[in-house]
Amino acid sequence: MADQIPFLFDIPSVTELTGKIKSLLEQNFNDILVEGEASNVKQSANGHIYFTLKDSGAQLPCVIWRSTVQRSGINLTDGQQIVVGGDLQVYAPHGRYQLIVSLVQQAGIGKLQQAFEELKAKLKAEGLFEDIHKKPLPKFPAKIGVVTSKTTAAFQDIRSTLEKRWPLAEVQLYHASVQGINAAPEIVKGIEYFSSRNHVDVVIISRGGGSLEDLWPFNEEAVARAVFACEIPLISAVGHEVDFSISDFVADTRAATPTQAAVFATPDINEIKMLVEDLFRRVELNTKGAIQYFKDRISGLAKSHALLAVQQKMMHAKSDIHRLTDRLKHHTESLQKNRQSALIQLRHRLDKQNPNEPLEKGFVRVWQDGKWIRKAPDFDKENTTELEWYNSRVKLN
Amino acid sequence: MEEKERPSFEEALKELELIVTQLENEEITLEDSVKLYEKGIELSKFCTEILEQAELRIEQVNEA
Repeated sequence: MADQIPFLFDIPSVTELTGKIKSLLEQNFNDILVEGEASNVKQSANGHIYFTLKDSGAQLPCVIWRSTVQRSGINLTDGQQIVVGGDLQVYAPHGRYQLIVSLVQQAGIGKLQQAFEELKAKLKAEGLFEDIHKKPLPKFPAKIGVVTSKTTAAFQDIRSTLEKRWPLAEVQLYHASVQGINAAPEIVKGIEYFSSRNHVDVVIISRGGGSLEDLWPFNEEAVARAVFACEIPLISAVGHEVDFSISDFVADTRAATPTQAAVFATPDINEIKMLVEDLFRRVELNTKGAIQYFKDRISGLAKSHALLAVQQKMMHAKSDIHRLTDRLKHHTESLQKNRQSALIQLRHRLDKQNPNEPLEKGFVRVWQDGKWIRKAPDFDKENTTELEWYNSRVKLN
Repeated sequence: MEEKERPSFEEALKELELIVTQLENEEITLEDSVKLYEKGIELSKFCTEILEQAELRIEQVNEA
């Protein structure tokens, strides 16, 4: 300061100034109502509830004494839009003011909610939520980009889910704050990192549950624009089931939780194992089927009319041959039999005709000139005569 | 399979699915179906191996 502080006798001490502020504030802000969002709600060991009532522009520290808590049954949680009534108190030793709350009521749409609705309406009007912009997720991502805080439960959930479902993947983590004033710019950088390099198959931006204030970075316009511009399919998973953030609306896919984001991003390895098994079986089955088909065709051809006719002809020929052979055999046999019996008869006849038979009985045969003289006129008295008995011959002169 | 001609899991699975579709087509010759069978068995073994050996890798890409 260039000017000299004027020499005065009534310069107050800090205590005196604070005392003036205290009386000024406490007298003017007695029994007031104020609307905002409850955040950082904490209950002390003594049973008092401390919280910050806030909107996008300011914060007001509040306390509800245990007696009030017990009397009114107040149960505050982060993110509730509320109207509180009470008295402003300045606590001089800390130089701070806070609202001593005696009344809490559910409020209408708070300031953040209002900002949320305004941005949502604006981006919707611009067409950022349209289905036509939504890219399909890859079926089998090899690389997954994740923008979140590495220390959060959200990342642990994503990691353990990916380990279980699709351990084939490689995860690239872009670490970013997911709450506080720095979060939105870091998340934007992370999305742009993956979008510009285009080396991952899918991007997940995520954080776990929290108050609207905690989730607020995902409701920032800058994040929404980066999500929209991302070249790679992007899943937004912010907070719990009930939380919808602006990034959820802009993203290609919205997941209710970080775990669900990992589920949406990947196939289930067990199903894929079953699929590969099924395909394997079908390869075997169909090849066997093809072989069977050709076997059937061959046997079908073998049974075809043309081949069958030839076969039948052959069968007929065979049976003809058989029959003829039989006949021939039969014929030969009977012929042989006839001849045999003829021979026997001939023998009989021959036996009967045996010219030696009478000799055996003592008759004598007459021979002249080597001829059997069978009749008397053939006999020549002058010629040499030979007499034959059964076993000897005698010549006469 | 050679390292350089190793397909990605997705490529291998797609090819396997294609082979099954072709095998299910009755117009195929026996010779082709035997070729497809061999390729199909090889691919399904390759896919199974990837699935059984998979282990999630995590890398942080920015400093923080």
